[in-house]
Amino acid sequence: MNDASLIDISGLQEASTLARRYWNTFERDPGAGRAIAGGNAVVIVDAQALAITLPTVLDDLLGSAGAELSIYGFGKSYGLAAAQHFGTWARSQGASEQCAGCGALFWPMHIGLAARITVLEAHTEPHVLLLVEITHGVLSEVRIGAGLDTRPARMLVSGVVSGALTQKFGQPLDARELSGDQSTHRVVVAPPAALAHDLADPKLSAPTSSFTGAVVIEA
Amino acid sequence: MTDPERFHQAIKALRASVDGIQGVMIASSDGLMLAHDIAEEESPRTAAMAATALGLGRRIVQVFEQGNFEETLTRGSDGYLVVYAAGNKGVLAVVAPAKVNLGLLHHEARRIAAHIADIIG
Repeated sequence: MNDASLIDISGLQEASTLARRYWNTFERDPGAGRAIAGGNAVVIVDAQALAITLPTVLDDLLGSAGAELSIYGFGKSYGLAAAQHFGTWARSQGASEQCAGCGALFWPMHIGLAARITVLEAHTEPHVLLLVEITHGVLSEVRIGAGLDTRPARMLVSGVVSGALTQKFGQPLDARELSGDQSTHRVVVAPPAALAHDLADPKLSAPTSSFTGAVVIEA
Repeated sequence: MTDPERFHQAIKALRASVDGIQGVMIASSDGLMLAHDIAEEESPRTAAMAATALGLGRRIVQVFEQGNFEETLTRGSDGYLVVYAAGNKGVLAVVAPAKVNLGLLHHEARRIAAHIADIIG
């Protein structure tokens, strides 16, 4: 059962506009070795480095499970930090709390990590659960181009989304992939203690078209 | 009996067999928590660390050509964290004090890890 108030549509529209405004503040100052967005220092990373070099180094050092968890953890930390930063910036711009809480959901599209995020299912009872479909971005393209599995890219984006949602809902949430192919993957976002049980729920594996009231998040 | 109930039964069986165990965690090899009896706020991090220890252990065993990974033991001045592979898809992590009977812990935990591997499939 969808609870539309979980992802408020009007808040999302306001957040979309404000996220665009935020990224319009992006400036480079090569003379000072700086890039700034919303008054915050940012670093531009080559997609190849993030899609291939980093996962390769981590896999070599930690093995596949350690590498994937590290990548997911980095994504989640980034998603949390981005959501906190955007929330502070949005409030300074007079934005509503709904908008301030949703803005980081637009980050993956603005920074080139994903093409689209679709919230297929969202409810609060018996606990917060979101079923999210992520349309892949450039990191997956780079890996596909190199003949590699897209899983590290998917783990990174799943982490970013779970971090943003953790901040929005103010409680620990984790994400795990339910299914995926070369263009999209579906993740379940829920409290860590409930995640294994939720992943086994066959209703969450239903075809995308069977979910009514899906919320599409595009920049 | 559901899988979570079987996991919790396995945890109880291990605790009943070995005195002094402080915490037990069963997780998937990708860091998803399946069952535990440790502090709730610590459990997601413990699951991720156990899975990472498993992955790192597997990598070390592979690099040094020592066959299949079985377990890794971290010893501190006050106790141990022992991580056992539970087949290819699971991990059993046990926190125990320094005074634990380590031989008994290994004997029982390896048996329980094999049982968990059967449950996970």
